[in-house]
Amino acid sequence: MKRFTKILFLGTVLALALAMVVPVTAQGPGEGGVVITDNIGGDPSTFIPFIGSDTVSSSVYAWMYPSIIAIDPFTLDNAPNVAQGMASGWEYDETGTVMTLYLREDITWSDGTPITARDYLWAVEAVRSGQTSSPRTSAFTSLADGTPESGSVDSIELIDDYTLRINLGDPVRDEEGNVTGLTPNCIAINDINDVTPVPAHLYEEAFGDDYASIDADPFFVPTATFGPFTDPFFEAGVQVSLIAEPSYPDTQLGYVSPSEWVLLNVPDTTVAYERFLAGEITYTGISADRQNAFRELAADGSYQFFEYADNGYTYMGYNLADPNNPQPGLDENGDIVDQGLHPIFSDILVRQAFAYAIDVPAMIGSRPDGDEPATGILEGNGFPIYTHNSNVSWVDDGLEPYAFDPERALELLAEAGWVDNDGDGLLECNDCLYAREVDPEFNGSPLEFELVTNAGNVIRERTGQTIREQLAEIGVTVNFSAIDFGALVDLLLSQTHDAIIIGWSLGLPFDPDGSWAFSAESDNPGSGFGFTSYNNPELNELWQTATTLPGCDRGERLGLYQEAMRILYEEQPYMWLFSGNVMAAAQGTVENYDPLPLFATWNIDAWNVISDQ
Amino acid sequence: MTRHIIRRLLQAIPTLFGVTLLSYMIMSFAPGGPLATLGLSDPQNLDQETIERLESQYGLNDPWYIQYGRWLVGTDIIFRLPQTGNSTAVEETIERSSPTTSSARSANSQQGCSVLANERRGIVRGDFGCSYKWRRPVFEVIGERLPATIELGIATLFVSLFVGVPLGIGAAITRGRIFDNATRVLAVVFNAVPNFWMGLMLLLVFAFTLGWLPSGGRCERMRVRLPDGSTGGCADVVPIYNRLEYMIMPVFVLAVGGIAGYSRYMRTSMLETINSDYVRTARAKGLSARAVWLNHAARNALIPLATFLGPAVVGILGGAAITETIFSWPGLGRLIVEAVGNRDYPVIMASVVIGATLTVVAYIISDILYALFDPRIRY
Repeated sequence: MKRFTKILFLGTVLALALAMVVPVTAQGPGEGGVVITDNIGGDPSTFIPFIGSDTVSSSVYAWMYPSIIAIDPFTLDNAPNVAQGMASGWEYDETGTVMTLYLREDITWSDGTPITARDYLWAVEAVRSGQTSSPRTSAFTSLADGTPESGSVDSIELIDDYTLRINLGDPVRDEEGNVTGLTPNCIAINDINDVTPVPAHLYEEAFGDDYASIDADPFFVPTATFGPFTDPFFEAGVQVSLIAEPSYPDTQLGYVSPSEWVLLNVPDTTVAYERFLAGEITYTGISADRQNAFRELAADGSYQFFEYADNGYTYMGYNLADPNNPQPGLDENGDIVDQGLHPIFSDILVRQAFAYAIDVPAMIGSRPDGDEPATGILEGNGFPIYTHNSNVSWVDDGLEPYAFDPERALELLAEAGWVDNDGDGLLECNDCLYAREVDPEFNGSPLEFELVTNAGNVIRERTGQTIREQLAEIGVTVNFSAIDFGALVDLLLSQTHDAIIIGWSLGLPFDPDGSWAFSAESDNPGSGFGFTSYNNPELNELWQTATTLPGCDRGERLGLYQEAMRILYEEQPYMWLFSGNVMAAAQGTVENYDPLPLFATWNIDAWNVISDQ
Repeated sequence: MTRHIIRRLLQAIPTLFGVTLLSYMIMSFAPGGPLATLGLSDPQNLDQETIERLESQYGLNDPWYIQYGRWLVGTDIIFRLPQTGNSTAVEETIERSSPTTSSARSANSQQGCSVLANERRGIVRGDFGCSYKWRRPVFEVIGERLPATIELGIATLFVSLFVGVPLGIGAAITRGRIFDNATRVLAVVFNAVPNFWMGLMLLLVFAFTLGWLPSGGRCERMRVRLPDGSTGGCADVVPIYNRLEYMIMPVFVLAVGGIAGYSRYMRTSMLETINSDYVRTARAKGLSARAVWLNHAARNALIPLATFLGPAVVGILGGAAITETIFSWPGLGRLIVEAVGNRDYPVIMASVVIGATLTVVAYIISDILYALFDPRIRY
């Protein structure tokens, strides 16, 4: 009996001790704790999805509204019957310009009202009215008043509450700009997704058909939403807090586990990182320069992390045209415009020489290994990129990075007419392209150019410094400076630059079409993104064929894009540099943390932040 | 005195006008614009037509002086230029109040205003316009940040004076001795150390390592239901005296410059005063050293400090931008930095007007205090 008492006593003590030490786990809906993430981008500007254009706002309203055609986090492609997506399927007619879109019939707004095609149409009408500040008008071929736009969605017809017929494609216009027909476009489906459905019955009650008044109420939130979180509380400069929506059906566990989602405004990246390490932030992204140190910190299980390659790249973009007289790529009749020559970068041999002279692998560097410290700008946390492609692309370009070969670079530069005439170690023009074609007096001019990037981006600043040093090794003078981002954008859009270092973040679903950056149509000083003024008719033809291929079979399009990527690789309008490694991290106390590439929070409704209380 | 104040206030009007004119001109000529980076955020989908349409709706394609005129006196006096091309400028009235129908959540106190609106009344009639970025009346955007900065500013001024002045007096009294030398070294260090570095070091030590102080913000993060049914944050329900711990580090970082400056200025002023005739007389009367230093020398040495008020306000407003960023303090300094980054012209200009007004007013108050403290001064 004494022994039994002893065991009972010890058991009780042990149970009490365990109760104090073992964390409490969630038991059901809304008991999974508060999920906090950080944000350095400032406050949101709106909670209305179709007028928002900044990432902070979209990170908030994405929890409250469905997509018309959602992206499957596993395939990174548009897919039917995906969580928080309305589409249950779609098909095209034989012309390829009429899509019939079928919607799920099993979802409702949180007030029980069915989510129907009318909800999407209300948002479409609001955007298309042109009376709001929405940038989404670019999804349509024209506004409601007939003003031409450059999108693909021409008209939408309501078949029934769960079926839409959408006419979409590249518009054929008459002289007055009216759309007279459509030609199929394989990436037009992305424009449909540009507009987010909203609960029409509540928006109509609030705004009627006075679309212009929507801008006057940017933080309007309807009483019914569709997503894991809702009811945002916005405290300027501090936080945006949303609470769990218990009626949301598309969950992993059958309920939303976290009680609250918080976007904490922490404007300094160092402070944000330290606050995450201190446990004040539940999940975050770790910048490339901290990833090696964080891996070591996380080794003991205090933190969880997941790494993947980013969907984008950093590059040095050249100006191939005369920077003193920027011209559009096409004139009013659609004919190619003579844009003059850039003294240095019009010559493909120079651009190729630079590809050999810049050591991208050295910039990417290596992670620490034993006693060996990390090297390079990215400290091994990146991947070389050498043409217009993405790490999540469905196209294998089959190319290899340019080898670092300064000797080959000098050979190419000599062939291009850039040699060291006077033995001072610097290259000068000696019958280079510009001297031959434009101004013979250019002979003797040094191979020197201005390179700029945006101040504050440490990786880009160090990249610029490295390019300056590496090109100096072969006698090229680079005047590098880091300037305000707005000034940089002005410079590149005005096409008065020599070379810039910047990056593209590529969207989802990724399509390799690059006509928005590498075509005469996109080359518009002041606004176009074809600011290199690179124009290759063969490439234009490839973009056109790949995006209008009947049936849009990816197998057939793949070959066209491979050819396009090869041309860009050889002609080097950009010096492609690298893509960063993305590290998504969470506290070790988060259960069900299961991130996917580019979708780190796809199952956030199942997360359980274990409390030690 | 009254005439002097009125005269100074009248003089302030052209000063403020000049400040706004110059600021608007510089801002307009600065590279970039409110929509400059919009396209880069989504290069595959946003196009030239859309951006041009938005520029037209925002009125950004008018010459800078027209935009300035509209901002200053309103659109009923300075009209928009006729738009060209495919623009679809919307004739929309302003300041539509948010609908309070049953369909809207009550949790959001923020009220919007249309960035498309082209019927402004101008700042001379109290209309500072609508923030391009936050789509809300500028005064509302600034108004919700201003209390935090005022809180920080007053505390900083208080700490700077009540630490700096005694240090300066002590240094003067102990001239040439250890305390004097120590305060001199301290002043040099305080002046030399950059604010952001000191802020980060304090955070690392006192917040992240020792855990003695909170790591940022103005208050504990919370979401509470207020008595009127709306949702509020910590600052809505927790009085300032219960959240002083949040102020310790930011106030210290902002105050170190003031402490260094006041202590050195006070020391110099004290040493000058000590050689004056009235101090010599006081000593000759046989007063104690304490009475001579504190009652006669210190009180008179304090007079020139009144002139420090203007520069102090400017210094605190300037320093607040960095300090508020490091300590996630939701104040005006951070807002201005964000507004400049976003080229949010209405917010930038309102901040300029507020900053300039505060500076002018602070200098006028300095003058008044100087006259009050020193009977020899007559305006």
